[in-house]
Amino acid sequence: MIPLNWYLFLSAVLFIIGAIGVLTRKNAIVILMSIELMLNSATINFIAFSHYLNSATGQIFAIMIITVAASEAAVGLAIIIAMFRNKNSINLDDYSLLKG
Amino acid sequence: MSNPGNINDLIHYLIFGSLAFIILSSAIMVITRKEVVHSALFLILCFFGVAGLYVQLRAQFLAAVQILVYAGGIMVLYLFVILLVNRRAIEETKRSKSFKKISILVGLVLLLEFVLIFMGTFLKEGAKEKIIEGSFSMGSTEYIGSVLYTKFLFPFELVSVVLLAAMIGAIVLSKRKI
Repeated sequence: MIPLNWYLFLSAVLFIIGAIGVLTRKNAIVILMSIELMLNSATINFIAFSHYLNSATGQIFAIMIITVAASEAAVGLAIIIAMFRNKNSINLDDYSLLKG
Repeated sequence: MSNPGNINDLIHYLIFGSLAFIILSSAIMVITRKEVVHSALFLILCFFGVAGLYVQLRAQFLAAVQILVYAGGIMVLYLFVILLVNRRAIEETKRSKSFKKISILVGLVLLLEFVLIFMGTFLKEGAKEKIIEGSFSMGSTEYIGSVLYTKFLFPFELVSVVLLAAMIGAIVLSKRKI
């Protein structure tokens, strides 16, 4: 029986790796994939608590998280396709119109 | 820490350790590869590791849903879009050297703090006595189904509206002429 804090720290480290990916990469698709990593770390948290508190609520919420992640990935990728049609590039350095 | 002489606990720790290694190493690979397709494939490997973790946490329905929907649906969509937009190699911009030293220093301080907190959580012995081991049937499909359609009916219907909105949004956003 593994204590709860191991799972919480695994999800924390996974979240940090996802956050580093969002902050450092310039490819828009890699940024979306790092957001998926962060969502997965939150889901691990939910399922760990659902196991340790003997309640199914965590697993039901994890189903909701997976559903929302799917819809967010679909809309985000549609936006990336629209961006690519406009400028023929998904490097976020090229999208600096608001820069002063 | 629980009694180290128990072989059952040792197997639990071994499984958790190998799954955690797979998850974290493939996550690091996702954010460091130059080629986007490699990142997507390592993310699929990460999702398989997370699904194994769910099985260890007695959530077998969630593990199957994770593999089917996340690794089998969402990542296939990502790979299709990578196929469409991967025109030329994207140069990652170089950051200045002074930023690098400061960021490494701050990162090491934060890592030390993180490790200290992790070590500190083992000191509280009282919290662990409240751990109730989940029964095996709690993660089964029958139980999830019986709970999802009775107690959690309202979130279930709301999520279906979210999916409809996302579907409409994705179709409208990717049309050439609206």
